[in-house]
Amino acid sequence: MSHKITDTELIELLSARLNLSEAITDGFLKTYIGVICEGLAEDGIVKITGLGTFKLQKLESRKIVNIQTGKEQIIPAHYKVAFTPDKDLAFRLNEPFAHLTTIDLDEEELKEEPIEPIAAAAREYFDEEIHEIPLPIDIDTTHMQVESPINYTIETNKESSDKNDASQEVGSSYKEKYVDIPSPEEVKNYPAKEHKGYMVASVLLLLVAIGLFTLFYIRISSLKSDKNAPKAVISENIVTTPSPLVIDSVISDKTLEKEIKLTDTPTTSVEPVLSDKKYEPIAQESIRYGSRLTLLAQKYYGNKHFWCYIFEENKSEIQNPNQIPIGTVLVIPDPRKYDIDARSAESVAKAKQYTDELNGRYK
Amino acid sequence: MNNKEFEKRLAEKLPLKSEVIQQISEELIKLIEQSLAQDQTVQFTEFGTFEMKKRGERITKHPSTKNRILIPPKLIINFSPVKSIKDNFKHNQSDES
Repeated sequence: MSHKITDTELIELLSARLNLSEAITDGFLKTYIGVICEGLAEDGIVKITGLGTFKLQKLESRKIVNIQTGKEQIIPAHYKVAFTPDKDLAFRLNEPFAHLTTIDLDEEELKEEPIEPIAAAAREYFDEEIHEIPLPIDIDTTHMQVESPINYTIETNKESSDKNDASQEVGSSYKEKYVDIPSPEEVKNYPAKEHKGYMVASVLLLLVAIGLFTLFYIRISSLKSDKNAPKAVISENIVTTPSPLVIDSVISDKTLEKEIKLTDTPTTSVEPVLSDKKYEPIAQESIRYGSRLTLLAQKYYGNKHFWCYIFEENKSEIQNPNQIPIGTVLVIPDPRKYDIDARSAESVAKAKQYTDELNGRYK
Repeated sequence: MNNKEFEKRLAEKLPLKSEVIQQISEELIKLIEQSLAQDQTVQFTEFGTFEMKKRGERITKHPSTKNRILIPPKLIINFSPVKSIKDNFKHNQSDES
């Protein structure tokens, strides 16, 4: 299994790296250990920056019963040498597992009914649109193409979960329609389903998709008479697409960068159409070790209570605002979008009320 | 004993400049870290061994919400002192409460 490094090897390596004779490093190591022992004997604690803390820990006397003979024995109180690694060192060495976060199992079970085919259809649907938009010449035709599948999917959605076949048909009819466009499975290699995060991602994706469809439906019905409708509808969609795509990135970080680039270009091109309806996010922040939503809120809005709106904006990516995986990219929304004003007591009070609610939910 | 006192004590005992001492100790810690990162055990003959251990994932219950929470596995550094060190400190600290 693992290979052992003894102090003689360590001394050799150390001398080689520092160009010192082995006699010096040998002496150094012996004194190093000697001083640690002295410190322990004197103060009972030795703190070494970068390595950790050695400490004498008192163990109270306790009784043990010998299982075989049934005899009771008393172990007298004594001390043991305990070592607590430096926080940064421990964090660095835990890197292989650093991406894992605690999962609330009971909450997970509530969402446990994801309908895979619909999620897949939705993903295809999103992809289709991205491919579609860069051709602004025949807007009318794109509109036609975009609109018809939506009605399908909305219907299947309404007819509810057990009609998986219908949505699968939608997915296949897609492929027939756009033969020249590679299916998303070919574009991105999704990892195997056994990945735990995949389930979570698909559940979130489904929720977002349903929300999107209803939004879309409302928009279509309200703008039906307007001839500019297709443009607005399409642009609406591009702006909302980034969230599901970013969810996919939970699975692999590399695709994230690609996808963001993909979605970024169309967004900027349609920006003027939207300027009066939707506020663009003012910044992006990626979560590092030690990042807090409250700190971000303080930085961008001047009051920590407004963190709830950052959470709101990135809901699809944050499972628990107290434990956001490191590396998550968060979008900081424009303060006007949520009426954020640090000077207005009313606005702060509103945020406070919401944060209290969130705190209760994610205790 | 904090880091400052520790370095001072080292400097008193070694015929080396304090900068050199600092350099060596930094390099020593770096070496230990690198070995541990490769899942190698670092053993000091008269002191003890450092090794990486995996603490498995486990399920706990949130005391107030009663939700079951899955805590992910974690890699931790374990230090086990050599027997002579253990025995040395076992009853050494009778003056401390």
